[in-house]
Amino acid sequence: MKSVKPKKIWPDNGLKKLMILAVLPGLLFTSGCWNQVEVVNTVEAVGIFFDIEDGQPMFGVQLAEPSNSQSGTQPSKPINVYSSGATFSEAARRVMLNVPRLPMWSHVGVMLIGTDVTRNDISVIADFLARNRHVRKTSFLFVAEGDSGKDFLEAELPIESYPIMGLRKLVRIQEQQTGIYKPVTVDDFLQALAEPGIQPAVPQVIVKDINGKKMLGLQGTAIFKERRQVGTLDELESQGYRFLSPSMVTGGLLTFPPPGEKDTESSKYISVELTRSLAKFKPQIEGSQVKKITINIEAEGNYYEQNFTEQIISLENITKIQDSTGEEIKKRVTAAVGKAQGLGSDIFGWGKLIRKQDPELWEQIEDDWSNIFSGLEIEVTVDFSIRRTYLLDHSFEFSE
Amino acid sequence: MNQISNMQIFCLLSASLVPLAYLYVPMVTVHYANNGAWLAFLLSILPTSLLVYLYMYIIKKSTQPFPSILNEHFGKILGKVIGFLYVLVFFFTTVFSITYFTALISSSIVPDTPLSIYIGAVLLVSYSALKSGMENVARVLEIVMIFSLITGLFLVLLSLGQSANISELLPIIETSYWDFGSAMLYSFSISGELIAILTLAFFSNDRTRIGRPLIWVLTVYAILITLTIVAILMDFGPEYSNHIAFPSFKLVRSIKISDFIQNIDIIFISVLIIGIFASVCVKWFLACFSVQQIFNLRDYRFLAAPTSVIIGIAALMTGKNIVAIQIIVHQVLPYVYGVFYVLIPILVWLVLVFKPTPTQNQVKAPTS
Amino acid sequence: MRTVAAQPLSEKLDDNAANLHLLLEHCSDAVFKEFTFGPQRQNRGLAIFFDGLVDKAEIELHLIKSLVSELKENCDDPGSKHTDIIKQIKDGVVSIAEIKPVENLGDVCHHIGSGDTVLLIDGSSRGLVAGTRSWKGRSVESPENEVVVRGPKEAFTETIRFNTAMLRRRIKSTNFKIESLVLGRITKTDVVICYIDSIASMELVAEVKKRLSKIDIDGVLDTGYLEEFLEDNHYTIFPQVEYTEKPDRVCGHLLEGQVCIMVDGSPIALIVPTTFPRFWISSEDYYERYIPSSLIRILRFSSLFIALLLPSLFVATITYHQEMIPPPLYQTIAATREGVPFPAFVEALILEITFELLREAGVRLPHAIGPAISIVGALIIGDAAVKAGLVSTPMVVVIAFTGIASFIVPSYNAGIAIRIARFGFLFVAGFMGLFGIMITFLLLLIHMASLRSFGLSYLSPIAPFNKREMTDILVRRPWYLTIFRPAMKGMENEIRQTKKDLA
Repeated sequence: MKSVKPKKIWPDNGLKKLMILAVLPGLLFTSGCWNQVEVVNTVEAVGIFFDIEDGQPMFGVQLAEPSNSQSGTQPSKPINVYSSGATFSEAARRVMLNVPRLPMWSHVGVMLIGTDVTRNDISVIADFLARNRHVRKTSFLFVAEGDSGKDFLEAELPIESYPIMGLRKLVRIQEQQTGIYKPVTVDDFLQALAEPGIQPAVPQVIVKDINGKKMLGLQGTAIFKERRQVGTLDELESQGYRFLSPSMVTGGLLTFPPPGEKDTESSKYISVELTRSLAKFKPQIEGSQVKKITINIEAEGNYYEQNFTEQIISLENITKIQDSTGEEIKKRVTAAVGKAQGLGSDIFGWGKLIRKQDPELWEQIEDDWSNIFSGLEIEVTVDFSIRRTYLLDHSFEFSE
Repeated sequence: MNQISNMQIFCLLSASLVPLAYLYVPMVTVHYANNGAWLAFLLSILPTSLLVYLYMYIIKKSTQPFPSILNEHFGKILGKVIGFLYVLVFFFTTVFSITYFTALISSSIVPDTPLSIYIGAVLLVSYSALKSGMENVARVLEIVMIFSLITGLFLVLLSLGQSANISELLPIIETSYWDFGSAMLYSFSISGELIAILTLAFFSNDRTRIGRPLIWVLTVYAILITLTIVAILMDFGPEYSNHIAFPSFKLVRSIKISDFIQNIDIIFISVLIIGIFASVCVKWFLACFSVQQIFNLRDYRFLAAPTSVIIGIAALMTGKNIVAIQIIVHQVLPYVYGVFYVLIPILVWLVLVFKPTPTQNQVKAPTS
Repeated sequence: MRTVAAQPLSEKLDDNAANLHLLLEHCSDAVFKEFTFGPQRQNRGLAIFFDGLVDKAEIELHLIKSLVSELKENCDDPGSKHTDIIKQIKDGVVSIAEIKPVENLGDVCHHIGSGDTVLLIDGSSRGLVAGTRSWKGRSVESPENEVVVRGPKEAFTETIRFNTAMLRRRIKSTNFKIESLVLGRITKTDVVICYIDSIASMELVAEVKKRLSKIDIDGVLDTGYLEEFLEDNHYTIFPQVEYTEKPDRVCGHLLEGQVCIMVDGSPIALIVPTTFPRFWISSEDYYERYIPSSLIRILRFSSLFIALLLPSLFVATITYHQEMIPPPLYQTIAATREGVPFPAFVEALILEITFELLREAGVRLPHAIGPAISIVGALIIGDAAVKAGLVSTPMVVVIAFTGIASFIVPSYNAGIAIRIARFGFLFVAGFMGLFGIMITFLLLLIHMASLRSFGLSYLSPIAPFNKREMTDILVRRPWYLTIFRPAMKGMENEIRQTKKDLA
């Protein structure tokens, strides 16, 4: 009978437990509520703009106006608030002088850094980005190029009710569709800042004047060197920079004249869609000298369009198209590398690569790396394959 | 009544080892060995397996649970003295588990709430578990540990998928072998938490197959921590990770699935609360049980109440400053663990090797 | 009075009649029928019964008529052998099947109270009890609270004999035992303990009997009275005894080695021991094919968590962990909460209480006005409160969702436990957020792990983990793989089917 007999732990202590349980809610009232924030006391922050104004950090935030209607159908408008302080944290807190609600910083998906910050010293912002627990490291980072200042928050973006937040979608979709700019998150940026042998590159946002309206748009990639922005990659170079990512890139479109035609001679173009591309780097080390980097890009894509009627899809032509696509990629890559070398900023992380392969060598050359980088030879080989031609297997012909 | 199954022993062991190791082993190994941290950790599993074998050997040759093992092999007086030191170590690890957890939660999630609330809450739960006895602790842990291990693994796999930058896993040895070795030694000493088996084995209802839960714990531990280190290296790279206070936690913060599921760190914290509770329970139990064994007390459960006050105050005092806590993690833990969880067991083993085997069939179930 | 009740029957009919008249004083429903019989009509007899509990036609036809008419012819010399007259009547005269002798006044009263008729004969110190029970009871109907789509649709009634008959009809083995005892000092209620001899642990049966025999209460009107005496732990919100009104469900449990307790006058059978996961199992799972059953079980277990945690998780998320909500969703929630005067916690509490009120009102309402409460609930609470800006729409959705989930639990008593716990979680969520929820959840688990039901751990087979039984908790194991019964301490026969029958 022993086995069935209940263990008398709870019944004896039960009453005591019950009393403790009764007291606990009371304790909760005295001890809880520290980080409690009611939704009605908050406001959604959708984007942040960092800049320097009159020598002081300036902090701008775009807030989403809470709509009062239960249905919530009418689009709410963005509200932009600016403040300044000695540090960005102070500036951010001073937003509260004008806003009666707590902005939800952790919902911020996009951060813009003004050129006054990037061209002087980004260290004024690095610690804020890295340490602050409200800053989500998955937010996208952009450089706000130009002197438009506060216009960045005031400018519009089609369709989106909160333009700054719309940049998040914009940068990702354009990468898939055009393959020009590579989105950069706060984490990527900080990582590139922290690691030796790699420099950050961040896409730029500009304000354009279209029919009297100020519109946001992407233009160029800012490249950094030693805590400062030193230059900008244009569209072609940005594409090349994207091809040189250490990980696989997918999506994008390349347009160029068909094989055998010169760019300047005709208006004949073909478009090739990039499905995936992977770059492999091989530094050639001779003794304690790095002379050359071999870049081998393997890419795949589909034939997307031709703006003329000649039959060019044939077995031998496919090879030609592949070769000239490879040439096009090579052109972009060379341009990007040339620009970066000219500025002495190793945005591709080749120094890091050498560090991985030969840590001892890296220790010797680390201090002089930006010079060595500028003088590196590069050898690019591109292996491009066309896989599909979509719905037509021959070029379109007119019946005349 | 005191029998627990091997499955429960697996849960208890992984509770004492995995949750906190998950927080600081990746951090420290990456700190020492940079890109090679994952291999350093994996290699440390080899000596750990030897250590586990050593523990098994001690269990086989002993008739009483740890720390009475020490009396058995070192003689009564020396055994008691060393045993008492172990009580202190167990209390220290209990306190530190709570401290480290509260440090994490208050620096990353809800900094406004006083530490005492977290310490009090964790202590309250662990106390009520411990008070209801080992058997119930084992049952609760059985549910929660399996749940949290699976969730933890799932989160780590998710973060692995965030970036597949395999080149970050090289070079294995960057500057000196010593750093690589330090990383290995560190993870090896932390694995000494498995010493709990010396006590728990004597509660098992199937002691002949006690090796199985140990192997499982090691496997799960190795997989989970290696994947975490790999994910940290791939996502942040060693230099950036070295700036981060809690890289394992940062990893979860960065998880993002299709722009909708993001910022799920609070889910991770909930899982971690379970893990910390489990960890504290086991360590606290070891401490109380050791006190019982050393002073020949009738029961260990009543010790939970007075010690909870001591642990609470100690945790409040150690948890004041994040810099101090990081120093403990980096510089105090490996030595304490190395001496008490590795060296002394090796001594016991040496004594056993040169001592005639005790007569068999004397194995007693622990009294409580 | 009590001294009279304990007295043995006297040989003199007049004494017995006087005593009985004394005992049954002011009992207007007691019927005393005196008659004479025998060849010379020199034997006097007295039939006593309660009007309304007996089948009068049977008494008249098979008891009194047979005595009065038949004994005249067959009895040779009744006057000389007084002692045999009872045996003679019992074996030879009365044609009622259930008849047995009775020897003291207390038993007489107990039997007539149960609807039997007692026959006393002058000159004999023993009486005869004839089973003439028959009263207007509810007929066997389909279950009201445990509705099934597939499977038997019989439910227990208030008459214990019908109930045991329903069980016996399903389990024909002689190993199926129905032991009976009487509980209640005043009500003298029949209580039966059912188990299958070769399966149930004898220790368990003995423990059940021991706990029942310790009960000293004046009345047992329902099995609910016994439940609190049977359970191991009193200070808990969790039920430790399962109940059902379906005989097929009882049989299923008996075959798994459990013990069933039934009480006369109650259509509810108790089943012990039980564990927490069993409350989430419906008997229908075993009648439907295993794949749909398993999926439905998973649905049911997830609904357990929804019913327990959803409101508190929602409150915790929108008051403490807003960063977890994706920005578009947060905007939607924020827009609806704009202008709502209460904190989220208070709002949730108000809606929860309203929901519980509606639900409780709906349970007790007559069927005719039942729909009215839904109209009031749906229109006033659901629509008007939102339009008036008192509560926000997402909160109404969350509470409604929780309500639906809480209806999925097959057992009402376990559902109540979840409803109570939900309020606890709501409080900690309002004051400590997710951290508080996790802490409370752990406390709840510790509490549940320490519960026992007749020595069986309350969370088994989840903890202590049992692989064999886990296959029949979260999912339903197909019958052709069900080789063993769920193991219980002291169970005698664990094998359900031999392995060679496996396909």
